[in-house]
Amino acid sequence: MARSKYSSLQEDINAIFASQPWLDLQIETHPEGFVGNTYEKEYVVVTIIASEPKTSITSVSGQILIDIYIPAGLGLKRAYEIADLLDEQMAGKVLYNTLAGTTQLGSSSLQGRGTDKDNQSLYRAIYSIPFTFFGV
Amino acid sequence: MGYDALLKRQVDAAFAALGDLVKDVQLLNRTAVKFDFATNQPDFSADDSKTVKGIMLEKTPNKKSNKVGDSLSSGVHQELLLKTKDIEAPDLYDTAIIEGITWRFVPPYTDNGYTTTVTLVRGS
Repeated sequence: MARSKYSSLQEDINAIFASQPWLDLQIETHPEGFVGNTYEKEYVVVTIIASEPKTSITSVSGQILIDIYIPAGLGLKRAYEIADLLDEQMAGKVLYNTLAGTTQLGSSSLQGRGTDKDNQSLYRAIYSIPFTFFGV
Repeated sequence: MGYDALLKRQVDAAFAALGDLVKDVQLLNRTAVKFDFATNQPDFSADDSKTVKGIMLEKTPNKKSNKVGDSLSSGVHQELLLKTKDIEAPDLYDTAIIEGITWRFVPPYTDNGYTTTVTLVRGS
């Protein structure tokens, strides 16, 4: 099962953003590497960084970074609201959507990063949350 | 006639004057509407196909390198000049078929309001 740990991790994380509670919030959500065509309003981009190998070859840990883009010039209220909504779905959760293992999420943090360098009409904040995928 | 219309007519005239340098380009426009996390795939709009005229400009041959971090072959990059009125919003997911060869679009694109230059790379 070790060969599927990355796919299983991705499946666990994707399941959050495919779930009805998240879809009901109607926050446009993209994975890194997807090119959408609606970049003039609020949206979030999900990046999984599985960068820390574990002793077990079936396990890995790292960070999930979620770029939160909101209209610039309106303060950070909406970024904090979205971060709280992400926390409701993610913080402290244990995910097990495949037989290859479980993904445990930790406690999140939020960083404001200023206006987006590629689109000054948007402000960017980064929500990050650590994870560990425990393979079987 | 205003300058805008005049320039558009001049672009049409230039394309007409260039004879066999102007190629038929079959454009296939696909727009990614959203990403479906349940299927792990983008959802695309229905394909929109049309044939327009284009001029092949500079071609960059394969890059060969053995430096760490460089691809052994980055593929042939081909610049293509189109009339802006024929292609409103080039997109990463668009493809062009020219003389039987399928090319993918590579951002960014330049558009001066009358002509649009896109970069293409081989492959569907």
